[in-house]
Parts: sequence; C-alpha cells; structure tokens
Amino acid sequence: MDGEQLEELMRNIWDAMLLPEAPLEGAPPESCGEDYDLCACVDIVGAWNGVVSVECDEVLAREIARRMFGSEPGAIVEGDLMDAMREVANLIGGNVKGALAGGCALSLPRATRGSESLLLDGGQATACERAFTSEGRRLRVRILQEAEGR
Amino acid sequence: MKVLIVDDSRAMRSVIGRLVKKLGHETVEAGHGREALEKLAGAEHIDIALVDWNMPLMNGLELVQAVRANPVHASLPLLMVTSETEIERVVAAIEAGADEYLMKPFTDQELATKLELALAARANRQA
Repeated sequence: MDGEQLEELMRNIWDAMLLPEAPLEGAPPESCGEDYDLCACVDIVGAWNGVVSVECDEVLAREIARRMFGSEPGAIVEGDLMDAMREVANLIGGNVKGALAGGCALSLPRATRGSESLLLDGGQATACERAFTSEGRRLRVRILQEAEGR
Repeated sequence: MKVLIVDDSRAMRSVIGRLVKKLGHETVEAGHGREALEKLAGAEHIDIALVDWNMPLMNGLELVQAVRANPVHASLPLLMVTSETEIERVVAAIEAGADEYLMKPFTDQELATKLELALAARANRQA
C-alpha cells in the first residue's frame, strides 16, 4: 500500500464512520511534529509483519469518541476515549491487511496516551505514512514494517 | 425485531446500535462470542445477530460455528460486520454459516441493506 492508497482509505473511514462533518485535510508529516497525545496500534502478522498506528491530538480523539458514542461534549471518559481509538486503529488495520498480498492476521488493537509507546520496540521502518488535520487538530496514520529476520 | 450486536468495541456497538434503533429495532449487546452465546441462551428472543470477527475469548467465526452447531439457534440469521476485508475471510465466514458479510467502514444504507439481505437469505435457506 502506498501513501495515496492510505490517504484514500483514511478518507473513506473518516467520511463513513468518524467525523464526516469535520473535513479531513492532508498535511505534510514533517509539519505536524511527533508529539501526539494519543496512540492506538494494531499488529499485522503473517506473510507481512508490521504495525499500523494512528496518533492524534486529544481534542480530536474526544470528538471522534463523542460521535461514535453519540454522547454530549464532556461526557466522554478515559475508557471511552481509548475504546474509540482502538476501534479507529482496528478499522484502518483491517483495511490495510486486506490490501496486502498473502495470508496475514490482525491482532486485537491497543491504545495509550503518548505517541509511539505502543509500537513494537523500534525494530520497524516506516513503510508509509500520512498526516492530516481536521479543524486544526492533528492526526497521523503510519504503516511500519518489521525489519527482516526479526 | 431484536438485534444482537456482538463486538468487543463499545464504540462500535454504540455506532451500530444507533443505526439499528433508527431502523426501528431493539438492540441487545455482547462484547465477545461467549457473551453472545449466553445472551442467546437467555430468555430474550433474538431475531438476528450482527457479529464482529476479531474479539477476545471467542471470535466471530467461532461464534458463527457454535451457533450453527446448536440446533436451538441454528436458524438464527447471522450478519458478519467486520474490518476483515479479504475475500478469503468472506468465503470462510459464509462457509461457516454467516448469511451475509458487511465490511467496515460502512454507510447507514449499507448496514440497512445487509440486515435485510441476511434476513432474506436465512429465510430462503429455511424454506
């Protein structure tokens, strides 16, 4: 999967199930920095091994969770936030896996505060990434491939 | 109609639940396959189950197999609703006994259509 395909996939998920009312704008990854508030990941294992991660600012994650839960602003608790982030990673990861050749399996997703702390152990290289903003809030999606022989 | 929504994500159960209620149906929720089997064994009559694939304890494919293997629930309409998008997965789910397969992400209309198709497919198999 290349960057354009990843961007198209993210836009499809965004418009169908996340925040269609808040446009998702593409952004150069280097302009978005590295310090995101929340990170969720899912592993892909099998013919291809790696991680799909989604990171975003907390305000945006709260808005995504609020819409998914159909809650009022301010009603989202920490568990809701993490659950919504895990599901976003699952949606992206499942569709990335579907675009890969060969048999692969998807792990259960995980989420945490901070950026990158859930990634395996630094033994991966970024295969593809896309950064976005929505109403000024940042979001980044990355596909990281595990190093050969690990 | 009472719809059982089986998904380990509360957020996704909430998304699907709102759409199902908008269609005029009641919902019951389960967080994994084992809990779904408990709900099916309970007093409530379930008319159709919407089943995620990747869940802890008992995944969606195992749930479909368990439902079809139990004569009490074997005729329950089952719709897989999952981010597993490979054709091999679709085939595996249908061979295991799922009546229809809906890939995430989906639109409101797609869910409504697949719900009707799953009910019709099961009715045809029972006829």
